[in-house]
Amino acid sequence: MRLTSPSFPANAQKALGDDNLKSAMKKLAEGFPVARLAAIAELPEFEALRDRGREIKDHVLANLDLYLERFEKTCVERGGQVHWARTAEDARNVVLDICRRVGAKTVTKGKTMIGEEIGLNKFLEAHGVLPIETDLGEYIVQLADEPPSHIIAPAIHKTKEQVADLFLEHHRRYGKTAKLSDGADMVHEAREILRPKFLAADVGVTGANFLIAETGSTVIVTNEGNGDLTQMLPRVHIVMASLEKVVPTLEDASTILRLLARSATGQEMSVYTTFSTGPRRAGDLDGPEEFHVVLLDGGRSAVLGTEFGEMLRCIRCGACMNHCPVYNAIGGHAYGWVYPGPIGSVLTPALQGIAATRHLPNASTFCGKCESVCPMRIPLPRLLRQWREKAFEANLPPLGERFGLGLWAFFARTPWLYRLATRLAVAVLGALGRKSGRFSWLPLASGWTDARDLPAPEGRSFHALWKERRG
Amino acid sequence: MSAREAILGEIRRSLGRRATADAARDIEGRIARHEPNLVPQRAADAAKHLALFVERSERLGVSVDVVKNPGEVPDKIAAWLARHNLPARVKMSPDAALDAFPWSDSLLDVGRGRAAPDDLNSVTPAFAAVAETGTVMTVSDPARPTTLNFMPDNHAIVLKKSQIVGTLEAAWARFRDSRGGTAAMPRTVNLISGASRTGDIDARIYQGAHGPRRVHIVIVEDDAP
Repeated sequence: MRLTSPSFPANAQKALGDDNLKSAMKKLAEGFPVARLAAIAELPEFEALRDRGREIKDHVLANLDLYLERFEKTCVERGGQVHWARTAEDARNVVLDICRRVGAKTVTKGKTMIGEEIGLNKFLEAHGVLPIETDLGEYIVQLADEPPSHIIAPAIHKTKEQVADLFLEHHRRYGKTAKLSDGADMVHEAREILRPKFLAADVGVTGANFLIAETGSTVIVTNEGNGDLTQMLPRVHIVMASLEKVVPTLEDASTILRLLARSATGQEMSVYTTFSTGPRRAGDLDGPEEFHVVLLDGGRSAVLGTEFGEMLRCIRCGACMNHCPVYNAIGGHAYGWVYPGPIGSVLTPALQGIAATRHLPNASTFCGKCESVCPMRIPLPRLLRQWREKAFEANLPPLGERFGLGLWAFFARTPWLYRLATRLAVAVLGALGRKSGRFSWLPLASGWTDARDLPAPEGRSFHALWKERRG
Repeated sequence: MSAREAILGEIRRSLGRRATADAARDIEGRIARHEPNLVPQRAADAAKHLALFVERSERLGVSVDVVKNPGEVPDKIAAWLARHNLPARVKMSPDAALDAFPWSDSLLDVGRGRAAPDDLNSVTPAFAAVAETGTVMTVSDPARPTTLNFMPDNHAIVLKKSQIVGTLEAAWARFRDSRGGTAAMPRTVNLISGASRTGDIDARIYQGAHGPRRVHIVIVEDDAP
């Protein structure tokens, strides 16, 4: 997928002026976080389960080579084929080779973020194989020729009205000429149009939420059932997975399942959790004849064991973005790659290089909400700060920004001068703003005042109050 | 060097790993023990598993019948179809346990096999059910085709009370027992918790995205332990 993270500030600016986006994103904030809280309230063990989830993932990451070998061995014993891919290009070619060997014309796709990461759709199209997204959200963004803007709700940035327009434009060729206004009718129309495509596809591609070393199984967690139709109806099932998806046993997967859906959508379990192991067995009446697993590295093995290694615990629930004030304001596209929000701002620099992505770690207020909701307890603010340090050390920020940071560092390291300066600033701004209580314009502060007023300081500085209360 | 060797080599470099023999024994030991991790207390009381399963299923929007007499199963399914104005025709798993119910005494027209595109209603057995979350576990084999769980609009599942366990871990334990203590997986194990749904339009929940729009469960109160 094309990287537009270098223009993050402009992307974000544009997003802030998009009224459709604003009204669509409002629904996100009202939905997932509320449902998550309700689900957690019903499970007293939730916090302890987070600790167990973290331990499982840490154990796997410390033995990743062995668990991957074990997964491969068992998968092959059950009749599956495992393909290792170092790069996005390698992974694309594995899929295309399989499609060509079986003479595939169309490929149905369940949700796969690895598929997005390697730009699978455009690649297959360019080589004469038609990919058809079947997750409703992915189908909508495919019609709009856009990337997903959320890892579990790909079309969260679209209003119902926009979806209705897309369906009208693209479903005309199926004889659907009425513009729909009811969401249920839209779901029904998409179902009706996609069902024959499931039946006609030669190859089905899905992602994987887990790989199970013990059993050689891949696992998908979905609500629509599209991932299941995608894998059971075509002759060939290809699973796209990244290395860190492996867990040791069925019991370990069960523990993480208790965290995943609650953190994502606030469900206790997603509707369908499917364990797929090898191709159809002798005598089976349905299921694919071939089962392939593509294991993508894509830069992950190099992250292992570094100060950023903890990001590999991520189970892609989306809780960090659901709760992020920055993500909620600008949506996912502004981040400019596959994974948006706090986890994306940590992951994208690791997989795409900090030089092109140095803005992303700045897309955070460090409010800490992401870490507080992460089921895997990934210290996202710390990882973001580490990327800021890396970017600064590599001289990536422009001169003005570096000068400003240098100036601030000078004051911060000279406490008496810092206190004097803040006392002075509080006094001056307090006096100037006494009348209205706010500033709509200040020199050097347009980044703030362009969008909202800056409240005038009242009373004394934090330092002064702190000293008084502790003393 | 193959991609496999390159990736495993890079992982080992990153981990600073030299020898793997001891570590490999450790992970094999962990897999062989496959111990449950922390298991929530919600389903701790086995006497309440049936009630908990029914409550959780209904919260997921699944309708449930509990019957004492196995002879009532076909009638309950026929009545459910009638309630929703659906034709009295079902495609059923070619499963011996299901064949034991008196289908020919009911008004249902029963076909057996995998799902065809025009099959509107299906009837399948389950391997186990999880009280904690109202989840049904199905296991594929020649008598239990997976297509019946997903293609028809309406899915009826027949369950014995003795198949209800507390937790997913307990369901896996039964699964392992059924396979001589190993976790030799079939092509597909499905965990089903409710009917197909989507939240992709307007961030609202709509039922019946691609899989069944309705799920109905008939539980037979058997006396098995």
